[in-house]
Amino acid sequence: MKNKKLLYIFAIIILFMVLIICSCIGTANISYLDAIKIILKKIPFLNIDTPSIPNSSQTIIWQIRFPRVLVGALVGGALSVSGVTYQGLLKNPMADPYVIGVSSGAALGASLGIVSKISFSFLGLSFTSIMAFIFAVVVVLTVYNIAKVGKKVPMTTLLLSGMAIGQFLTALTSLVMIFSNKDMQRIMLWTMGSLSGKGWDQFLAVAPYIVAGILIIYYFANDLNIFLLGEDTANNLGVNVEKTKKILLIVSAIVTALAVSVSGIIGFVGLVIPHIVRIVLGPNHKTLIPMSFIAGAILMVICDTLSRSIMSQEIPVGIITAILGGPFFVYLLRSNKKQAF
Amino acid sequence: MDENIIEIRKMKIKYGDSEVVKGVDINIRKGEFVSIIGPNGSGKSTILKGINKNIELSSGDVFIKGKNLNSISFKDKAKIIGFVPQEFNVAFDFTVYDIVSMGRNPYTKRFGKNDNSDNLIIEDALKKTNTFKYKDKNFNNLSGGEKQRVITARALAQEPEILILDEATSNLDIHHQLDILELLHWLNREEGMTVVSVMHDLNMASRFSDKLILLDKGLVVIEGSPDEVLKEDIIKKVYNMEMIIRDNKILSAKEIVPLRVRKSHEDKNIKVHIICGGGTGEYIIQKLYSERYHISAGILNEGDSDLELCKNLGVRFVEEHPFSTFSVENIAKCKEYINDSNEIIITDVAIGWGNFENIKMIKDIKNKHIIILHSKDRDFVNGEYENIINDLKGLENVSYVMNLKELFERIDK
Repeated sequence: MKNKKLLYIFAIIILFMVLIICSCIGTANISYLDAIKIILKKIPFLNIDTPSIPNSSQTIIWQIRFPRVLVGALVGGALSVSGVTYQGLLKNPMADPYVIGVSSGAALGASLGIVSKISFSFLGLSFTSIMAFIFAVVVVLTVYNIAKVGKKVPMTTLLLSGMAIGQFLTALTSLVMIFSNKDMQRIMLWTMGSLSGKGWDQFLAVAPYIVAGILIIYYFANDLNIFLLGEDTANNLGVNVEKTKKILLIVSAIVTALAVSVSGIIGFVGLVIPHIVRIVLGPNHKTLIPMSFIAGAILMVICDTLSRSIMSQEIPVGIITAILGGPFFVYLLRSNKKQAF
Repeated sequence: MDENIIEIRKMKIKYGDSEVVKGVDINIRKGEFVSIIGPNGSGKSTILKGINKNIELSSGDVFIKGKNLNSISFKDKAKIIGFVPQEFNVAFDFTVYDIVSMGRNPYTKRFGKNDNSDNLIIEDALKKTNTFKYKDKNFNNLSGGEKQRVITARALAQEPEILILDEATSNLDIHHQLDILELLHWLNREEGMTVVSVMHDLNMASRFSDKLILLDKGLVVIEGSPDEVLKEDIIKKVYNMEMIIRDNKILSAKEIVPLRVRKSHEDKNIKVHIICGGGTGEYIIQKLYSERYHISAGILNEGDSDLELCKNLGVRFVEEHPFSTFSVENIAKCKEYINDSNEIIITDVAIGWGNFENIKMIKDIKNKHIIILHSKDRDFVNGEYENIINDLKGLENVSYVMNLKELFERIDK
């Protein structure tokens, strides 16, 4: 118990260090101390004064880099937690947040949004984001209802119908891309995911719902543990299987859709982070959920920082997550004799 | 004791279009040890699933402690019923303690941790099932028997009033089968736990149960005490096979000896007379009977176990009062059987003055195949028996075999 508390404290400290360090990295040279001061200044009652720091630095840190880092942390955490949930529910190591069609729905929605050129925005979210979110949710509900047999939703049917619908929608997205040559690159970049230009508006628009969704998922941590033993066993141990499954599927789909609507489709985080945390800390969801959130946040923030600082041109962050996460995951798999799943 | 803890009324359950349970009424009283038996596909496990809310009834009702199952939440149900499946595997690295502590789930509050009283209950369950020593081991590294005990411990951690087991011992060796059943028996007798178990092993079922429920094709054929249910005519019909049911005096329980299933087995049309006694003919008679030879045996004394077997199987025999010399009529009857038969077998039965007549009858037979099973020190007639055997040994129609394997090979020729 005590070790666990230490572990949490340690993880949170690292997360904060990463948040701050990554806020300092960038073309405009701002010292760490200044950056920390700028961020701490915003906390009431601390009364930190920053007269010596130029206003431009304050704007860069507080208005551009820090909120973007926060969006990254939120998206990374959200994708990881929903990956944990799907892997637990489906008892399938291949499951990731996109497994039942969220990503393909969001991609189609986003590409329609991009092509339509509507520049309307709502609560800080662009039309593209809103379209992505709506399509993602509609697709998940469709998949869920297709998979339904009587009152039950068998997991294999859910996976298969998710795949079928996903392929169908991907084809539609490709069609949209082909018919709108000019926007092809923008759509492509969106499907690779990027946090470029994301700030307080986007963060504040989705953060409350994502946090609420993650809390709901955490509320079912015990049930998820029991789900790992099979649905029949979960029933034997007093879990209302179908109801719990429904809540968790829908909530994590919405969490994923919210994250994706802001960042585009960032792969790998939601697949790999849960596995890594499971290999290191074991399968108990009471630890797995919070620690995956923290680990996902850290990975995403680091990858996003790399994506905007390696080259003069931004690289889509999805590419970085895959390039970094893949080999690390392989290393863990090989060095750990215990079976992860 | 009179209260019905489980009542099933007109239960019907369908899988798709096929009705597996076709209207079953069962009452189970508090504190009873009930086994549900029946051939594969008779609906045993499905009924358990129905009681356990794992599957929806297509019609009918289940009442647990007088309350309709539909109005009991999953959580409350899990406080009353503990379920032990046939096999249980986890794809994850959980320790034994983790697995057993999940049994406390119906009592745990959200976000709440197991408190001290939970830990005591978990420890108690581990100790009762003799798994405390494995508590920190990885569940997946345990053997089948150990796993099954851990799962039983998990069910006990639910503090249930009813323990339901779905063929919980079918995959275990006899040591571990008995181990689990003795545990259940103890829980039933000492803790008053109601036990409902689907079992394939009829002998185990008869030995441990207060009540048996025999199912066939989704319906209850008969329910009652093992003595009432385990009757040859009933069991033969339901399982569609030849069997003997006899009293196992050591365990004072009914015992089933399965003989054969395949009726199409060709009638050998060979008649064999067996000179046996004292159990020496038991195995030979069973084997030849199941291979459809026509058997006769004799002369046997009343009370002889070989004689009991003959009676059970409906094999021809000649019977004599115990401790008396064979009567003239019986000798005549036996000679008739011998003359009628194609082959004669002499088992390694001990020969004394009482049954010496059996051997004398054989002495002059030249036209039939005689098989003599070797045995040392069975002559209790001052060497007269050995003399006869030695005379016979040289003859062409006589085979002298050293063991049962050789004996059966000779018959097949």
